Amino acid sequence: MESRSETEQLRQWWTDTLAGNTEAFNDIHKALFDGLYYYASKLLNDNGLADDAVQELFVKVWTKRTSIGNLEKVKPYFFTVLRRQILNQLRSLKLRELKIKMSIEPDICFSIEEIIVEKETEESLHTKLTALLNELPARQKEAIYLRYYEDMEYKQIAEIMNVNYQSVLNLIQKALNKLRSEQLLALFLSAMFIYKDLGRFE
Amino acid sequence: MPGFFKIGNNKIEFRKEAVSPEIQTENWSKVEAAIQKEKSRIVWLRPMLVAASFLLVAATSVWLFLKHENQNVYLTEVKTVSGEIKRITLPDGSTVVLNANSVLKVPKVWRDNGKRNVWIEGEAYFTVAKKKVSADIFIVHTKDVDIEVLGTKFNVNTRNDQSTVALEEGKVQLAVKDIAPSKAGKKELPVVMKPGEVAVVNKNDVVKLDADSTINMYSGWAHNEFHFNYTSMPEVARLIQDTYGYGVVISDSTLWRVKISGEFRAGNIEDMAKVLEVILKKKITIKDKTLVIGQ
Repeated sequence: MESRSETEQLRQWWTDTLAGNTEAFNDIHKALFDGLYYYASKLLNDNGLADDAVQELFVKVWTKRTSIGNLEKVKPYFFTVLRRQILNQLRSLKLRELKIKMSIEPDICFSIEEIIVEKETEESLHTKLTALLNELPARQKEAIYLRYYEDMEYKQIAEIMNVNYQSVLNLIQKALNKLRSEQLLALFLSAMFIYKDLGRFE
Repeated sequence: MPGFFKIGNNKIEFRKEAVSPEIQTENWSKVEAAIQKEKSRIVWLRPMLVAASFLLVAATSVWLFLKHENQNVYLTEVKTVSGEIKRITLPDGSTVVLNANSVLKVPKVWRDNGKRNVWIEGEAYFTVAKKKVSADIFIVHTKDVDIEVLGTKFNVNTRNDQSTVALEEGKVQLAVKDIAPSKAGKKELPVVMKPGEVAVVNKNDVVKLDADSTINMYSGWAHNEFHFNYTSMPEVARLIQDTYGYGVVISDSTLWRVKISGEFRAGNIEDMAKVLEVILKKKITIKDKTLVIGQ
C-alpha cells in the first residue's frame, strides 16, 4: 500500500516541483521510477521502449507542470499519464505496422519468476497459475497487475484505467473467480477453500 | 510490500525484481538534459516572445504565398468533370487514366534523374514506366498516403475520405501520412504491397485487404469495364454519377436495396442503361442528365 507518509512526501515534492525545483522532481523520479518502468515494460513488452516512455513522461510532465497544477495523488497521476501515453504509442505503432496485428489494449504478460506461491508443494501449480494468469483478458490482467503487483487501491486503479470503481471490482473478481474455478479447483480439491479475498468485495 | 490473493490454501503474490539503480540514474540524466534545454530556451524566448510571434506570422504568410506561387509555376493541373475520363501520357512514358471529377498535378519540368512526383485527388489508374536507374522512383501523393512505385499498374481512389490503392501488377510501397512523430517511429516499417492486394488508408487507421479475384473491380472503369460483386444500388448510382455525370432516379424505392453482381463493358451511359435494364428487368429512360429507372 502506498503509505500515507509516502503520499504526503510525494505531494510535497510535487509542490516544490511546481515552484521549479528540479531536485524535488528528481526525488519523484527516484521514488516512482521502478513502478513506472515495470508497468511500461509490461505494457510495451520491451525494456528499451519502457525506458524511453518513462523519460518522455517525465519531460512532458515537467513541461506541462503549470497547467497540471496541484495534485492530490501524485503516484496514480503519473501512472495514468504513462498509460495514456503508451496507449497512444501503441495506436500509432498499429498504424505503422499494418502487417502486425497489434491490439490497442495493452497486453500484460506475467513470467513464472514473478509469481510466488507460498506453499509450493506442487510444482505444476506454479506453472499452471502463470499460464492461467496470462490467459486472462487483457483488462483483467492489467487490473490484477495494478492491484497485486503495484498494490494500488481500487479507486486508483479506476482512475488509471479510466473506468469506474465498480468495473475494477468486477474485473478483479472475474479474474480471481476464473483462477479459482479453472483447473485449480480440480487440482486442489478441498472443501475448505477460504475465499478470504472475496471479503473485499462484500 | 506487494499485495497477495489466495487460491485454496495458497497465498499468491508477485515478486518484484529491483530495477538496477543505474537505469534510474541514466533515465533521470536524460530527463534532466531535456529539462535544462527547455529551461534555457524559455529564458531566452521570453523577452523575444512578442517579436517572435510577429515574425512567425510574417514568415508564414510569405511561405504560404511562395508555396501557392510555386504550385502554380511548377505544377501542371489536369482536371476532369463529371462524366469525363482523360488519358495522360507523362514525360517518362508512364500513362495515367484520370477518372471523372479528379485532379492530377504533375511538375512542369521533369528532371532527368530524380524522383517523379505526382499528386492525385479523386481516382486514377496508373501504368508506370520502368526506369533503369533505381533513384528514379515514381511517387503518387494523396492526402492520406504516399505511394512509392516500383514499375507497375495500379488504381488509386481518394474519394470518401480515404485512399484506396488497388495493385494489379508489380510492387508499390506505402508511406502513411499524418502521424505525429514519436518514439514509436523507431519501429516503423513501410508497407510493401503485392499484386492483387487492395489497401485502404484513412485518417484514423489503416486497413489492409486481400482482394485477389476482385482486384479488377477497382480499376475496371479505366477499360470501360464494370465489375459488380454484390454491389448495392446506392454504390452503382454513385459510380454512374462519377463516371458519366448522370444522376439516378428510382421509382420503386425497394430497388435501392437490391445488390448486383456481374461483369460487363459499357462505353457510355446508353450502354450502361441497356445493361441495367436487363439486370434489373425495369424500363430505363434517360433524360436531363438523369437515369430514370421505372416501375
